Amino acid sequence: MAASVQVHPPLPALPRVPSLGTGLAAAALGAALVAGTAALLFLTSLVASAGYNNARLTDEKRSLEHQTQRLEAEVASLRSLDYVEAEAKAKLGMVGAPSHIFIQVDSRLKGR
Amino acid sequence: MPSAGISQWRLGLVLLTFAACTLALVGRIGYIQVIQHREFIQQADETHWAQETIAPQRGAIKDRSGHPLALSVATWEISLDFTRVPTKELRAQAVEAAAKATGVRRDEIEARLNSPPPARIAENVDFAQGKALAEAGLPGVVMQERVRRTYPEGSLGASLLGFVGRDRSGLTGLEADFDRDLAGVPGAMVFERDSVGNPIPLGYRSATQAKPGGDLVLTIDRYLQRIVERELNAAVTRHRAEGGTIIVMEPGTGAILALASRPTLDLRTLDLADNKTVELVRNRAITDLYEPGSTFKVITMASALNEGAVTPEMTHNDSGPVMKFGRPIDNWDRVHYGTQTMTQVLVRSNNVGAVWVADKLGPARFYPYVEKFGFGQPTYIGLSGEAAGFYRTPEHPMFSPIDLATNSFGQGITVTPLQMITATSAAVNGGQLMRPYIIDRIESPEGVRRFQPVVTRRVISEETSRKVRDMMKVVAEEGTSKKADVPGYYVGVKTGTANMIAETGGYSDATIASIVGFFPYQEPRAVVLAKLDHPKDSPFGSQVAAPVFAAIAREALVYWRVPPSQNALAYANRP
Repeated sequence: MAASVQVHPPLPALPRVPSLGTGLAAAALGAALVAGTAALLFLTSLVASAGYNNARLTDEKRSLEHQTQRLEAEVASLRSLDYVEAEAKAKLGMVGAPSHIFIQVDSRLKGR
Repeated sequence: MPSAGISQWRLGLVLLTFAACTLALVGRIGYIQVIQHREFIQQADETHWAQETIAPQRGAIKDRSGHPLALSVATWEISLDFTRVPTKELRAQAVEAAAKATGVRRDEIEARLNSPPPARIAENVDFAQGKALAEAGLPGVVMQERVRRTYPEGSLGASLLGFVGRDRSGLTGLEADFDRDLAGVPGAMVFERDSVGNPIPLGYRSATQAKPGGDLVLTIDRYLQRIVERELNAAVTRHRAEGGTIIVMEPGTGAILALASRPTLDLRTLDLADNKTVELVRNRAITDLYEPGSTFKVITMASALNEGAVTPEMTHNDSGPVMKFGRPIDNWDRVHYGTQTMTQVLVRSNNVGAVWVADKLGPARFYPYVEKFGFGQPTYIGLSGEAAGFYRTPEHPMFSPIDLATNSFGQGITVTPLQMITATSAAVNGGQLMRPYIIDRIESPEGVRRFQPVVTRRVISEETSRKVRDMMKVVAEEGTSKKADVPGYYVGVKTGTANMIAETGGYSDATIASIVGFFPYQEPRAVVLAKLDHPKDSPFGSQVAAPVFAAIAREALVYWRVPPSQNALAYANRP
């Protein structure tokens, strides 16, 4: 007797329901991407800001160095002999040093 | 159908045209991409990458106590270039801003804009004043950083210091001779720039910092230098001299304490376009030769004393002009004193006596001393343009036996003022010829390089040197040089008057009046040489140069707080 084999059509595929873990992972990945992008933007902005800041400070440093040079020159001119003499005469009413007059005396007279 | 045929033909023509254009474009693109590839890459790099030279800070020149005589400050050079400025409004804005920053009138700026661009509006604009204009970033305004040399002490030591050119390199004097030490090493910055030319903040940037130049610290004392320049100016004016030179040297070390010559340049109003400037830049103390006249008798006497040919007390008889190879040699005053000591020969500046001393030595012993005292050769002070001087020895084909006689009192021999003071220093410092030097140290970021005194050679013994000092002291007290005497102190001097060489050959009536001397006698701290060229009121060193020596010595002794000699008494102070 021949055995009869009954062939059933394949069952229709059930719709896949994402598991809770996969969803969370996807959300986390998305969040990480967003956070990463935000962080990158933030860092880029920080670096850009630091770059501008650096350029500004370099410029300021150079400007201050030039100012220091100028002030050193000014101090030097204020300490120059001509200036000191002119100021001493004009503002302090000083006069030129008196000329010291010396005479030679006989050393034998010194004891008297 | 004919109409369809024409359409086909037209369509074909259009297609052919398009194909040809496409082919031409592809060909052009291929040419640019393949053949001109490198050229365009280079152009792109040049546009994209920028290199900026960072100018180093030029070192200062200071006196021995560290006071700056020359130093650099940053300034701007402002130009306008409207080649790429399209609108009149922008141009007007730039002109207005440039006029405000520089103080140059608008109409003057407009006039300069007629010349080929860029039109230079102003240089040496104060850095702070020009910075606002630089930051405004106006199109057409070209700002270039420059360095201006400033001189806090004015033109003090001008011929010695020299000056720098527009390219910041030294052109004359110490600025040129020590340019390598002063200039420093430029740095460089390579960076990516945007379309306007500004550095891209996040772009590549690499900088090699500039190394600042070293500071030159001189042996010059600014206080003494000022006294020397003041006295030289006064003497040149008073005696209507053509020029003059004064040097002050520390005899024990060879350090130059002051050095000035006239005529000279004014560093504050220097005009490099003026041809007269070229004539003024040379340092006459080392470049100009002259016949020293009777100041050279110190050298003749020191040589004879050292050889034992004479002593200070030895006598000779000055009975009249001495005949040398058919030519009479007479004293400067034509007075003859009969029997006189060697000290009196110096005191009276006696030519006949000097010839007698030279004869005692003979050329075989005289000329080696002239050489040992450093004449006829540079002193090697380290400044460019130094002359060697000249005299004839018996080996010279033009030597005449009369040369020995005339050389003994300083004629027929040419020297530089620096040689003369160096030799005199050797005569009074104990007998050692020192190499003169003017740089005490160079202070750079790498460290300090010091220059030490160098003994060139021993010329005479200490005992001979002491005798020379004694004899020069008597000259100051009793001799022709009484005007060089400094009340309260003992000094030693010798004056000289020599005829100048005429342009046509031979001697002219014009003279060079000079003096060499030292102070204080007990322990010489300074040797001074003062020389005035062609004074009009009196030709004599004793009248013209001696008071200059006295004025310098008097002030220097007070400045150094040297107490008056024991036998002196201060009796009055009067203004």
